[in-house]
Amino acid sequence: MNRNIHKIVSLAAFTCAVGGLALAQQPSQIVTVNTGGPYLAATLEASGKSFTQATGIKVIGDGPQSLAKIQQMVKSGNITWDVVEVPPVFTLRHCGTLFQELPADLQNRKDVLPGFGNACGVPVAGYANLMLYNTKTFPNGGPKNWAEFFDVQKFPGKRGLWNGAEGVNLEIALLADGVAPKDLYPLDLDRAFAKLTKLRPNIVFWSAGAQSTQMMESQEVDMLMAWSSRAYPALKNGAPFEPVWNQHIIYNNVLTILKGAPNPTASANYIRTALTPANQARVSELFPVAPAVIGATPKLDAAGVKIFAGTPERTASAVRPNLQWVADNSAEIQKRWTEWLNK
Amino acid sequence: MQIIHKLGSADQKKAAAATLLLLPVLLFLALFFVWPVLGVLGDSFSNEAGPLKEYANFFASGTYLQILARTISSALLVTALCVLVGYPYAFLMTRVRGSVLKVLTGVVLVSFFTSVMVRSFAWIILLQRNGIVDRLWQSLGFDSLVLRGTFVGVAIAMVQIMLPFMIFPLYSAMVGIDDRLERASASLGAKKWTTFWRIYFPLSVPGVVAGSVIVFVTSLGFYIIPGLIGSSSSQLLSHLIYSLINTVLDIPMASTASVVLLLIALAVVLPLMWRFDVAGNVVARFSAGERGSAQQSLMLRIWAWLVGALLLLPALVVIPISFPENRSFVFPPTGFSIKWYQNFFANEEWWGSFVNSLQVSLLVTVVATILSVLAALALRLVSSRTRTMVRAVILTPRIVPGIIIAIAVYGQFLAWRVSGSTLGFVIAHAIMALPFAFIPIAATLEQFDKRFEDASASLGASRLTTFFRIVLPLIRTGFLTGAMFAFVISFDEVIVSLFISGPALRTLPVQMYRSIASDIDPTIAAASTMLLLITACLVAASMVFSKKNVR
Repeated sequence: MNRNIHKIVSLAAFTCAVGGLALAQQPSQIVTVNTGGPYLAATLEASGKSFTQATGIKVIGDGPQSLAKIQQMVKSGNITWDVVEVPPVFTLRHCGTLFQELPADLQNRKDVLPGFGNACGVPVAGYANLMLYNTKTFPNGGPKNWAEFFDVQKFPGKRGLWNGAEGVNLEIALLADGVAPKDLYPLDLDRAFAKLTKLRPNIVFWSAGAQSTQMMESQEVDMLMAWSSRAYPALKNGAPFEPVWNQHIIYNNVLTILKGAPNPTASANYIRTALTPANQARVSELFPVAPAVIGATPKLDAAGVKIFAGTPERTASAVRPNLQWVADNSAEIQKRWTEWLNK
Repeated sequence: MQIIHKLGSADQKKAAAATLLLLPVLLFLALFFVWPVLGVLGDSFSNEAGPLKEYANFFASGTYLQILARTISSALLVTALCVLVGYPYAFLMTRVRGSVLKVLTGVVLVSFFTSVMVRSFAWIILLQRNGIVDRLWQSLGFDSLVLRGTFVGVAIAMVQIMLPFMIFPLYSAMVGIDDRLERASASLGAKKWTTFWRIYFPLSVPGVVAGSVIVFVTSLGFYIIPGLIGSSSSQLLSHLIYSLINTVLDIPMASTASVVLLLIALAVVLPLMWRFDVAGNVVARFSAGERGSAQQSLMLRIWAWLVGALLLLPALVVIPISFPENRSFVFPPTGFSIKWYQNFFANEEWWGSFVNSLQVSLLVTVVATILSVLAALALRLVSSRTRTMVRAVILTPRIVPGIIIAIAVYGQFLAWRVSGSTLGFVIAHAIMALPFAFIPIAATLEQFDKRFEDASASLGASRLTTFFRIVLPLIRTGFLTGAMFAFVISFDEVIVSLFISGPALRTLPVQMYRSIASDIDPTIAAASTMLLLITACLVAASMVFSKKNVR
């Protein structure tokens, strides 16, 4: 009895101490960062609001994030960002140097899409690198796979492609050249660039996601590769484009905490909040990313259903990039891309 | 003791006063501008394999050299086009009077004061597929013409944006040319063209040089226009620097590329600065007296009309695009709604960034104006050689490409913990606004007759009284011009702001940039329309005001 009382008292004391400590350390606000714009608004509306309700901590948004800003912050020790959403290649390359290791329960979570997270990053939102074609240019059906996307004889016209080296363009070039999805890696860079060179006169590049939306609405291209989430606003506004759910490359961004960030505990709790199925579904309803958490089911409008990458079939049929290989060869890929781009 | 006594002599007193007056501006630039830029220089030598290894790598890369060549040649092209387009316009301005001169001047001023973000946005809308240019072209029976993503598109937009920077100094140099020289030449039997080439043009060369330097240097470091309108496959050095920092985190190479860019700018500017009063000419005498002859060739007038149209009309496209029903930039817009205007005032991101911009710009105006007045007062006390040097120092921020200031300041500000704060913005913008505030203020103070001061002092007025009662009223125009320039430069600044803005503080141009680059938010069109309206009203008002002032 005595021992039990002792136990209870010490437990209570411990709880009070921890609680008091937590209270004392609890920040009044944290800053969450992603690409910005309507997506940031969606995450603040869903995860931000429910986190503030539960903890009283205000959530402020900022964006877009960039690796340069992250590095400058970590280097200077003046870190103003708490939870940052980044492409998985960032965390694969800079885990432990720019990003800190997450608490054990967030590392390698089993209920999220595999292949994107690591010790420093946990998947939060996905999208497909998706082919869409202009139904005005091709009223009787457009290209059905990347090989046809690269076939300018059969389907003449301008192609929109992302101006970026990692994770998409080289892969689709190789797929178009007949490489099977499972044999993509290690990437044959020479072969990929040779294939891209042939398409070059027909390519119009877009850099920021909003440009691809704009490209579809002004019908600047006859087909393009777009991020599914960015194709949504265009389809919603009636842009005449049809998605091709074949050989799409699926991608997930991850949530991270910067190394040396001032509020790791609150930040980890925010990540847990963002990964609840309810918040995952809510974000997707506001901005059609695909939930990273398996089983989250958003209610979507017509355009959303068309463009949603998270259905079981579309998840199953997707091509998965080998991001560890991409991260390991990032410098070489970037160099070759810059050279090719400026040729 | 005797030595100290000697120090008290008039000359020494003057030197001490000059030093004291110059100290604030020199300290300000040394700490907030030179020191951060030296940091970039240091980073470029930080390769472990040897201090010059990065430079060797840079010049060994065919790709980098190609980008370098492209950057220089496009800056040269934009500069040349600005001279060709702007020269006849400025020439006509010196040959007309009255309301025509007012209109010609007003057009350039409105264009100059219209936010760069507003004009960039307008060009995107104009040049896109199925945009106005494309539709006009097609209605003439041609195939489609999509200039967005082409070098031609970038060049057109850059020339339009840089033209006022060319026309100001051209006009300023031309208006100072004594027209009796031309009459003398004609009376001696020279033909019109001979007179122009042999007499007039050589006299206008300082204006051409001054304008070209500013246009060339700004074009070298232009980031916004080529980034939003140009093609990704014809990168310029500023984009290479940006991507080196952002995608590969190669700070040493980015710094090396920045230093190379800076050296090119300096190699062009310094020799010219030595020979011509480059920056002194930029805005000094824009409100010079009018004169002129009635006879102007029809060609010249048509040309001026075309240039005026190029300066004014493109921005107007933001008006129809601000009323769409959907979240879209498509032209012509579908439906009609004023919700984007409501959003500007209701949305904290928009209204808040607008308030931030006003706040920062007002503070910058105060800082830059005070520093400029102090420095300008000092200039009157020193020898002409010192004067030239001081002037050159204060004008250096103008000849350092913006992207370099951005990188330098950003790294340093993070370490000082002022990035993303009002203080950080005010410092960064004040650096860039300083040359613009300083030029008109120094120019009027130099013209100001020192005997007024002496008279005031001899009548027993204290120095402060003399300054506020005599000097300030006399230099009011230059003072106001300088303050206005400082305000506008700060209010319009994008590149550095993009780097140093944070969640706590974002300025309007940054918000506008994001609404194009990472979002499609027609609120930018509503904001642009309102800015356009305010600019036009202010310019019109200032011209009416200046007319009264002359009487």
